[in-house]
Amino acid sequence: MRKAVHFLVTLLTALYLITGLGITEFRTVTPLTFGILNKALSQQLHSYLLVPFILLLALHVYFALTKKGLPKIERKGSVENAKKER
Amino acid sequence: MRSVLSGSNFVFLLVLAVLFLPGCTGQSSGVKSLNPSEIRNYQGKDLSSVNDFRENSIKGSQYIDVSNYHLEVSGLVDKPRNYSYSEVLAHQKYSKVVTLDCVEGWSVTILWEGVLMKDLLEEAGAKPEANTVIFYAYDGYSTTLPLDYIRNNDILLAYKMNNVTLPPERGFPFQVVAEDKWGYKWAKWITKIELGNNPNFKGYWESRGYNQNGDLNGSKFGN
Repeated sequence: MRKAVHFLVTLLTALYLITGLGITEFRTVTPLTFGILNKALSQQLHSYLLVPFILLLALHVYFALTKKGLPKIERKGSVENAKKER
Repeated sequence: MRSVLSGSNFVFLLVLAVLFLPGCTGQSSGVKSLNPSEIRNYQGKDLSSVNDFRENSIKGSQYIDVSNYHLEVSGLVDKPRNYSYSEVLAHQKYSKVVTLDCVEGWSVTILWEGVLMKDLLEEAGAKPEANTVIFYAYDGYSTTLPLDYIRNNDILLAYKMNNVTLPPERGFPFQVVAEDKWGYKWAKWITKIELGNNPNFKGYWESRGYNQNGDLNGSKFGN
């Protein structure tokens, strides 16, 4: 699940950047994509990608925090418990 | 000091002053007026700058030689016209503050000055079956507007913005001021205005996915 989210965030970040450039720099992006990604299509995709991108980014951040942050809290808790036990 | 202002020297200085004073105060007929600078406030409204636009035309800025320029009005009209730049400017001029909203997300509020599009169309005499106005630009761009929209909304064909002549990068000699429409309806560098009877005729961006009506309160995409 984590790996899938990390991979999708990377993919969506790339797509979000490319479609954004397809709007503002269409004179470069459209020929580079052989005419497929024109300004209108870029803008449509860009607007569709916004919500999935934010959701996946939030999941990505959550996973990153739980992986590194939670064990610390657990350790701290266990030390306090250990002191109480003494 | 006394020697300089005394006698014939004083008279000589007086004559010089009489001769050159008008030149110093700008009263001479030989003084040329410079181009006016753009205004940034009009009747209490703050205006954007001519430089606040983002250049997003299909082929970059176009530079039109006005001495060879002609504006063609043709299609479903009784009397096709071919105006020179000065002939268009000879029409009654109008001005109004209108905001251009671009689909990219930016907008500019400008005091536009130009001629009424419907005045040009009336001179050409639109045929009863005409319902669509197609604008063609120097760079190959095209877009359409409904004829009724132009008649009912006093749409301008602008040649000045913020009191200065349209710069080449802003659409000199003429730009459509399609108020309440997205920026892709505001065609620049207009060379031809054609009346047709196909309301579904698609211009450059319309044929690539942008909405045919281009209404600000409507959808940006699709039909």
